[in-house]
Formats: sequence, structure tokens, C-alpha cells
Amino acid sequence: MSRFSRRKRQTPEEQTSSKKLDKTLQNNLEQFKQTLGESTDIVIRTFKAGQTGSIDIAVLYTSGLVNDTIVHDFVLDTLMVQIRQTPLDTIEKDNYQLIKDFAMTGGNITDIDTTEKLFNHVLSGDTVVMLDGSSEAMAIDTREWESRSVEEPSTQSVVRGPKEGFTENLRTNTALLRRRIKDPNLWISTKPIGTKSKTDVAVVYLHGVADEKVVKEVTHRLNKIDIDAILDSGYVEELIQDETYTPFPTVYNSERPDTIAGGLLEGRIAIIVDGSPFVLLVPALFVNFFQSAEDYFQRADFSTLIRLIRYLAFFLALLTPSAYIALTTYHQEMIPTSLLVSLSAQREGVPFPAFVEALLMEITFEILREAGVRLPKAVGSAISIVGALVLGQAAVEAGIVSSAMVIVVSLTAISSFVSPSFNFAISIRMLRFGFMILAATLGLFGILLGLIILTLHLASLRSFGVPYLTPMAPFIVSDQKDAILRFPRWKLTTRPRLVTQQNITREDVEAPKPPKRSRRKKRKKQK
Amino acid sequence: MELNEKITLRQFNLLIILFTIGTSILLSPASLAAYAGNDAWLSAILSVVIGLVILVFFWSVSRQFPTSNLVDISEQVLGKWLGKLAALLFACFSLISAATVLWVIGNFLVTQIMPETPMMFLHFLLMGSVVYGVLLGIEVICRTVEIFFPYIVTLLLIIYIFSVPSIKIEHIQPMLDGGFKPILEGAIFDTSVSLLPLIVLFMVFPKLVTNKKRVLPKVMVSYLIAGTFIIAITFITITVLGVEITANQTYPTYVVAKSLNVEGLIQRAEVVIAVSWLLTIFFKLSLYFYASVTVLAQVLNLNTYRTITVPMGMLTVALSLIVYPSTTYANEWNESTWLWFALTFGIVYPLLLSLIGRVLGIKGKK
Amino acid sequence: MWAISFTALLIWAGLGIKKLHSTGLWKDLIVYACVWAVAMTIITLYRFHIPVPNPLDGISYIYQPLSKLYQQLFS
Repeated sequence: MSRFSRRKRQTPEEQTSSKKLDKTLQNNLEQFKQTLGESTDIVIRTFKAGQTGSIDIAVLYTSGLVNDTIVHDFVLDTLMVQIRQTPLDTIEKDNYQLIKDFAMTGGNITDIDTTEKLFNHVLSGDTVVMLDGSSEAMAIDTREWESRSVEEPSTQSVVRGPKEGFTENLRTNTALLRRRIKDPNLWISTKPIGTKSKTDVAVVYLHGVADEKVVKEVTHRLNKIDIDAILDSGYVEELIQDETYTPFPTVYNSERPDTIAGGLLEGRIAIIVDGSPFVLLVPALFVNFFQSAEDYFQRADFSTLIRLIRYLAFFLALLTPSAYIALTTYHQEMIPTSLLVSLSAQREGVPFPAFVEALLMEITFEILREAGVRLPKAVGSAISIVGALVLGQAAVEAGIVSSAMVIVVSLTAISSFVSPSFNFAISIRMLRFGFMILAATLGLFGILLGLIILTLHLASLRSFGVPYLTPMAPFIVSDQKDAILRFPRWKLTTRPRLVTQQNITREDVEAPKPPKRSRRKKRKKQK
Repeated sequence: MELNEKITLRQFNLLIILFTIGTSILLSPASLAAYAGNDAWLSAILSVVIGLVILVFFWSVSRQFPTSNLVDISEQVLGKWLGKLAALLFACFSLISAATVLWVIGNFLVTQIMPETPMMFLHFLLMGSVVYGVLLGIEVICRTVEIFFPYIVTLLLIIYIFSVPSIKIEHIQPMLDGGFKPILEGAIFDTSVSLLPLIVLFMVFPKLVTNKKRVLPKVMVSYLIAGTFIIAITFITITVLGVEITANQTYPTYVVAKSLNVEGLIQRAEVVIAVSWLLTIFFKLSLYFYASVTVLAQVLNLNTYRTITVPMGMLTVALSLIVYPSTTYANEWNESTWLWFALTFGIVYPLLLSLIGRVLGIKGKK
Repeated sequence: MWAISFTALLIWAGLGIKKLHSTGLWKDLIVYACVWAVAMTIITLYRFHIPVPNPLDGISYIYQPLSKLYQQLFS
């Protein structure tokens, strides 16, 4: 372990962090320029103020990160035009305080006195005003940069439901959540993570509903992170998850504000990372990865059916190739005779055993899928044509694989795309190959053994203290309403028991009923 | 050694059901038919009744020492060294039971499903997964039981329901023609196979169970459920196959499943019974193994039982290879010696502890 | 195949002993090594078809008087 332990880094920022700002403007600017290596996106505007023009003022900002209109109208215009006639240089008062208290029209102003804060503010889009003779500077919030507008999420699309998706901007994302939950108990705490990137990471939860212990655990794990940069929420996910060596995700992520808001209302905790449209949600349980936002927008019976289909697809994607291998290699007596005859006729000219055949086709499919994801859209159609040929009639006619195998591989492929969350589908894909090897060596017994080990592994997982297979194991009756089945809305009266542990009751609604007939008659009589 | 793991009463009850069904579902009908002929199902019912009485005894012993497990009780009641010795013998009892159970699975696989595969290889694989489960802890095993339990029950029920049409009542007539003695003999044998090993659960696990409200009725209900399964399968095998075939088969249940044919829809259902049986026996093996490993670790005062789990798994494999040289040896040994072996640890040992504990007024560790 | 598996098991045991040695748990180490040694001996003897004393025979011997009595009772 000691070989891999990290040595404490000495970054330039840390060396200069404790340094106070100088009284003379010239020195400060010199040092500022030097540290930034005269970077061209930094704008430094120096000018003179006061009736005699004896006060030196500098305005610093990073172009592209600020709203130019605000900088011009509220900072530069104020300082250069509107207080032109004020006798700043003759009255015996603190000019800095005067400007801050009476002149500056920006909304959010912070005092800064160290170089570290100066860099932080300038580089995150604030405009800093520095006066000669003052060891303090003021930072005015002028942040605004080009960002994607709120668009329809590309990963988890729905037929019915809101079409808004998170963006790369942290504030837009928190606003999207606030607009859905206008409750004072929706608490958002933000802290920068990453010694170089200083990415804002926000922890969002419903106070009084979310389990305090889990909130503490989340903040604790976030505080422990010591890394140079966070470029996506995937970094945070990998650094805070309970178990690294598992194919299964123990942190949920979504691009959909409605999904995240639903999670918050169940007592889960959301982690928003600036610069990533994928918001994390913990604790994440096995059943969560089979729930789609749409389940709650459609009718209950329909949603239950769809969920059952998803579980079926999960098992199909996991076990179809291995079951085919096991049946054709070891247990031919279990296949109905007529099917067995046609299967062996197909396999007549195929030179490989079923395992090699399946492996060949599965790997080809995985390569095609990967190519399809990464390629530019224009080339995509070419891939799909080639793919259709390779995984289709041509392969069968060339005598490399049997046509039954093509059906098996296609079924597996389609099934693995049914899962509403992409990262869960990946884990199924990985495990599929393990099951194929087990089936090739031990037949159905191997598959059973694999399933036992898989279940043992799943049962051992925890997501922020909650067993991964809750509410199936440990079995919780009240949580069955929204696990594999989806009960009607008026029956979903409780929050998941192990996730929240407090404030369980959610709503108190009665089943909608038509008005009683007798009343109707009365009304008619009144008419 | 301290165990910080907790299991719920519901999980404990599921363990009781699976542990009781365990080997019996596949093996009991044959031995019962051999003993009691066409009254084998009466013998099974009698065995469940005897079992209930013994179960109450187990419960009273475990209630006498609510916060202790077997090793604690032995050391307090018998003194440090004698207690350790007794607990060590108990660990050997569960280890040998684990080895025999492993042999039974391996034998079933080799004779029925995979004749070409070497038995040692299968034993290694099975024990590997058991060791993995035990390393993950009893909590994880219990959760896995909760996941698999519905499937096991459903699969068994499928066999039961679809074999109803092939039942021929004349197979069990006339009733009681051999007198009462063979029925009693069969019942005693069946109790020793299916119920007495439950002492492993009652001596090792009560310390881990969290909520202990109204234990006895719940435990009795779960035992009755398991008993019903055994009675039903005995009844079905005898009425479907007849006494002669049932008694001559090693795995009569498997043969029943093989012969199922419902309108051409349900055929080749033996894989169903094989899967559910392999699952139950996997958990039975895990529990025996867990008991032997934890008891040994506690007797030797080890830091954690996890360090010795892997070599103990290897030892179980090694023992499983030598315990039963053949099926005939296994049957003979089970009929002659197993009863007494199980009685010693299942009745005499807890009874002794309970009596001495009562005399000395020991109520277990606080 | 046999040689490969045997070597693999030995290496596995060696790794476990090394790990326990570094943690300094002497009692655990002794138990670990002993159980491994017994298990490996039995497996090796079994592999080369050398008869190993069966513990069940010993148990049968202890309970012989009782089981004979029982059989007389039911015959």
C-alpha cells in the first residue's frame, strides 16, 4: 500500500496562499500578471479617478467568464463616469469603503484580502476592483458564460413526462430542482473540490426527510476527496462509492430533474457537480436501476407490466447465450426433439463449438456497439449496414455461425438495451461472458453456481449503509409497493423504510371513487 | 472472537425451513419407503410430530441461555477446558456433517447430471462458493436465502401440483398392514436426518437474532411448513412410483420429476427439482460449514473466523472425498450410526447443558 | 493438470501464511497452517489412491453397542 500512497503535493497556489495583498496597486498588479504568466484572457483595466485624477484604480476580470454588459454598465461606468465629480481625493475618508458603500451597484460584493482569494474570484468570473493605497479589494459577481440551454435529456428519454434535462451549469441545475420542490427544507450546500479545478460540488437533500447519518456520511466522503481536478460527476462517483471491485453501480445518476426530485422526496441525497449534466443520487439500490421516471407518469398497471418486462430482459441479457451453450453442449435431451433436429442441422457446417461461436458473435456485437457510440453521426449509418451484414445472413451463409446463434445474439443485444440506466446495462454485459465460460465448462450446473455467487455478491453490497438488495433482502413488506411492482399512486403512502428511517409517511390520500349513486339521485331531485 | 452480525427472526425462520428441507426432499422418500413400505407417508407425519416435541426442547434450551451461543454455554456450564473440548467435538460434528452433505451433492451431480466430470473438481467449485458466502458473513447468506426462497418454493410447488394427476391411491393401500413398528422406525430415522441437525441453528444462531418476540409459534410454523413439504413429497413419490421403485431409487423425487408429462407442455421437469434441491442443500452446507468454522474459531480464541475459513473449506473437501467410499456405505452408516451420532449432539449434549445449567443457576452471559 | 492445481493450492496457502505472518497473529497462523497441511495431505493421499482412515469408521466403532441394541429392538 505504501508504494501507492500519495505524497503531499506542493502547488504554486499553496505557496502563495497566505500572502496578503499589498498596499500599493502597482506591486499587486505586477505579481498578478507574473503569477498568471501574462495569460491573454485576463483583462486588466487601469484608470484614474477623483477630481484631480490622483487615485489609481484597476479593474480585473477574465474575458469570456463575465457578462460584458454588467461589467461596463455597473462597474466601469460607475467608476469612470458617475463618480467623476465626487471629490474622492480631497475628502479625508477611506475611499475603498466609500466606493463600496455608496457607488458600487453590483448585487453580490465580497471583500478580498489575500492573493489566493483574488485568483479564485477573478478566475471564476468575478470582476475585482482594486484601489491604490488599500490592502483590500472588492469582487463583484458578474459571472456569466456561454452554456448549453436546458434541453431534452439525451440519455433517459420518456414518452410522457417533462422533457427538461440538467445542463453543465450548477446554478441552472439547482434552479431546476428548486422549481420542482419549493420547500424551505430543500437544503443545498456547496463546496469546491479539486486543488486545481476547484469544481463546485453541491449536496442537495430534503432536511427532515433524508437520513441525517447518510447526509453526514456523504459530506464526510466528499471532504476526504483529495484530487487535482473533478471533470465530471463520474470522478465523484468513483471516489465516494462503497465498493470499487464490483460490476454493479452503487451510485445512481440521471440527467432528469424529475427523477432527481423524486429521489429527493424519497429521502435520497443528490450530488450535483458543476460542469456535468449527470446528477448523482445516493443511496442507490438494485431496484432503482429498473425504475424509469415514466413509471410514475403512466398508469400503475401499465408501469408494473413494463417493469416486469425489464426484469425479464435483465435475465435474458444475462443468461441467453450461456443457456444456449449449456443446452446445446451438455443437455441436448432437454431440447424438444424437433427443435434439436433443426438445431443440429444448422450446426452441421459450423466448424466451432457453441461456446466459441457465441463468444465470436458476442464480441463482434460489442465492437460494433462501441464503434456506433463513438463514431461521428455521418458514418453511423455505414456501421449499421456493415453490422447488419456481419451479424446477419452473411455470417450464416459463410458457415461461420448458425442462424440460431444469430437469434440468440440479437435477443441478448436488444434485451441489454432495455435497462433504463446505461451503467447497469454495462455490468450485465460484463457478467454475460463469465456466465458463458461457466456454461461451457459445467453446463446448467455452472450457470446455477454462477447465479448463487452473483446473488451472494449482490447481497454483500451496500450503498451508503443500505443493503443493495433492499427491499427484497432484507425483505420489507411496505416497500414492495414500489419495487418490482408499481402500486397505484394513492397507495404509495410511505417512503422507502431503510433509506429515510424518519418521516416515513408521505401522503394521506384516499382512492378516487365516483360519487355515490344516492347522492346523484338527490341532486337530480333538487334540479 | 466477537460476531457483530445480526439476522432477523424472519431470516432465521427461512433458515429453519431450508435446513429442514435440505437433503430430505430428495433422500427421505427412499429411506422411508424402505422402512415403512406403503405407510411411508404416515411415518413422515409421525416424524414431524416427534420433531415438534424436540423443537420445543431446542427452543427451551436456547431460551434458557438467550445471549450465549454454544461455546459460551459450554464454557460456563462445563468449565473452561471441558467446555472447550465439548465445543470442539461439536465443531467436528458440524464439519463431518458438512463433508457428508458435500458428498451427497457431488454424488447426485456425478450420477445424475454430469457423469464425465471428476467429483473432486465439483467439490472444489461448490465449496469455493460456500467459502465465498461464509467469508462475506452470515448476514449476506441470510439475504441470499431471502432472495432464493420464493424461487425454491415455487419450483417445488410446480412439481407437486403437476404430479397430482399421476397419483394412484392404490399404491398406499392397504394402510398399516405392517403394523406400527416400521412406521416408528422410519419416523425416528427421518427425524434424525431432518430435525436433529437443527441443533446447529439453535446453538449457534440465537445470539445473532435481533427481535425475539413470540419466537416459539413462528419457529413451529416454519418447521411445520418444512414438514409439510417432506410429507407431501413422500406421499407423492410413493403414490406415483409405488413402494418398490421408491425404495430402490437413490433419488426418487428426481425420478418423479423425470416422469412428469402434462399434456406435452411440462416435460423434462427434473431440472426444476435439481435446481431447487441444489439451492436448498447449498444453504444447508453453508450453515453447517459456518457453524463449524465459527465454533472452532471461538474455541481457539482466534481474532476472526475469516482467517481459517479457506483452509477449513479445503479440509471439508478433503473429508468429503473420504467419508463415504460408496452409496451402500453411506446408506448403512446413516441407518446404523448417524442416529446415535446425531442424538449425542442433538439431544444428549443440550440436555446435559440445560440440566447442569439449571442446577448451577447459570443463565448465560449478560 | 493435477500438478498445476497442487502447485496453485500450495502458492495460495503460502500467500495466506505470508499475510498472516505480516499481521503477527501467531495463533491464527498456526491453526491456518495445520488445517491446510491436514487437508492437503488427505487430498494428496486420495489422489494417489492410498487408503486414508475414515473418521466415520471410528464413529461407528464408538456407537457399535448402541446401534446393535437398536437393531435388535426393531427386528
